[in-house]
Amino acid sequence: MRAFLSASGRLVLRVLRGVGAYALLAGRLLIATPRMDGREWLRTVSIAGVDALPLCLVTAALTGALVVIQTGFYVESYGVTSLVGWGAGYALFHEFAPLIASLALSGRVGAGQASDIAGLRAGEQLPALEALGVDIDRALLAPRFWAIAASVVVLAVIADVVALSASLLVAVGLLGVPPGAFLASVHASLRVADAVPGIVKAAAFGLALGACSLRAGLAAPAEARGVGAAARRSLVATLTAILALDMALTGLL
Amino acid sequence: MTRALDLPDAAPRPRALALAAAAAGALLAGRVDRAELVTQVRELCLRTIPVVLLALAFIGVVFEEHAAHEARRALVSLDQAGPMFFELSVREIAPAIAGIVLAARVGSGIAAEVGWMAQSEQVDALRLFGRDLAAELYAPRIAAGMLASMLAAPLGIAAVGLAGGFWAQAFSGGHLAAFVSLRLVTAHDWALLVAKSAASGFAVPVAALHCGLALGGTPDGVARSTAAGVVRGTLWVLAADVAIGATLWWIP
Repeated sequence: MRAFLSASGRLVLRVLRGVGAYALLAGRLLIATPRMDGREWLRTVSIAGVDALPLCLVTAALTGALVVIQTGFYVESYGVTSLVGWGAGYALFHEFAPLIASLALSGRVGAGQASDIAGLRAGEQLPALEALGVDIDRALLAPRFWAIAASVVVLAVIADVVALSASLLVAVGLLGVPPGAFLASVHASLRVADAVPGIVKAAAFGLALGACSLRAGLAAPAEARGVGAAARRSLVATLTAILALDMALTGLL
Repeated sequence: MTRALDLPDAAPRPRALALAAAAAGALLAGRVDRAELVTQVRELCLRTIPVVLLALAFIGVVFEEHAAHEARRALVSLDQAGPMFFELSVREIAPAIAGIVLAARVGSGIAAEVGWMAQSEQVDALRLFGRDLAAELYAPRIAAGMLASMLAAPLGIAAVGLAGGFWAQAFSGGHLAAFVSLRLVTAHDWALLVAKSAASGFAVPVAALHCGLALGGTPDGVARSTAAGVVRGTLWVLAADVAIGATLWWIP
């Protein structure tokens, strides 16, 4: 009983410490945002957005193909070819394109940022900047946070388009659905508003990705081993946050 | 300088295919370091399965929400969608999401550990002393990854069905029994599950080992290998999923 209470207490303290750390980070980021360094923002957009584009394209294409292969099974069983476009479009816009793209980016962008910040701490560059009077919140953290969030939203929109195009190709090649019928099904049953839930989710995933990666980098031990640990912690925290947000937002949107 | 002392620097980093072949050979011949296997099963398998179950429970609720929304729109009973939901969990949702979580959790763990070993020259030391890397380094991690994958996906199906079913019963007017119904699940679906889980379980550790050995030897190599291991593992999981799905499409 005592051991159970002790373990429960430790868990509660750990959760509270985590919540407090994220609240503090959010406060620092909000204060620093109006005067953040624009060049660092652009540099991070180039890393988190442009450099991650190939990964996003490949992931989106595979996701689009996957969705049609699975939809196709039911289409064949029930003979409802006219619904393939709707099924693929709905599943991709509402769920799969933002989710799978964000999960893939958590490895490429999130782990990269976490290890970069941890590396700066391990190499004592971060304390050196602070000693020289540089506000690292304005110079480093806020620009990177907003750059990651913006990049994920833009990449999710691109992922929507690429995934739907891949769906079309697989539907035509594998299921023998005429391209016109696929596009007519998309046009008839999906509106531009159907893309909104996915974009809102992508924005939330992007914010979570930025916050988790920066927090993991800042919390890592200031030593060489901390760099790898920061990447691992960022991955697990981002994964959990994305899936929890997905559940919460699906109910709301 | 003797040839033996040249060995660590001269030893090439293995290509992914060669690494996979060496590991598969060691596994098939039973050349696996037992103590290391136990350690890796504890580290990779036991610590990963709860994360997979949590992720799939979240996904179960998300998909139930989508099913309930569409059922309301089409004016049909949510319980009609339950067996289809469970079948889709078996053939796609559980193996795909379990594979992606595996790539994040197991992939990052292996890539970081092996990257660190490469950076601190422990891998070179093992080579110098003539140790069997396939048996001591590759095979235990791949066996543990495959075990994690083969256990996580079936348990994950239960997590998806139960979480979706409980949510449907509590908030959407459905019944739990419909969301764990095996009525539509066929041998074809189970074959897809086994093939996808085995492919993920093999591909993720191979990608992570390769990234750890290839990128870990530089000062920032541990972080780079961790991120690259996860990304490549995720891509392999998705590619294997598409390839297996498309191949088994033609089998009745």
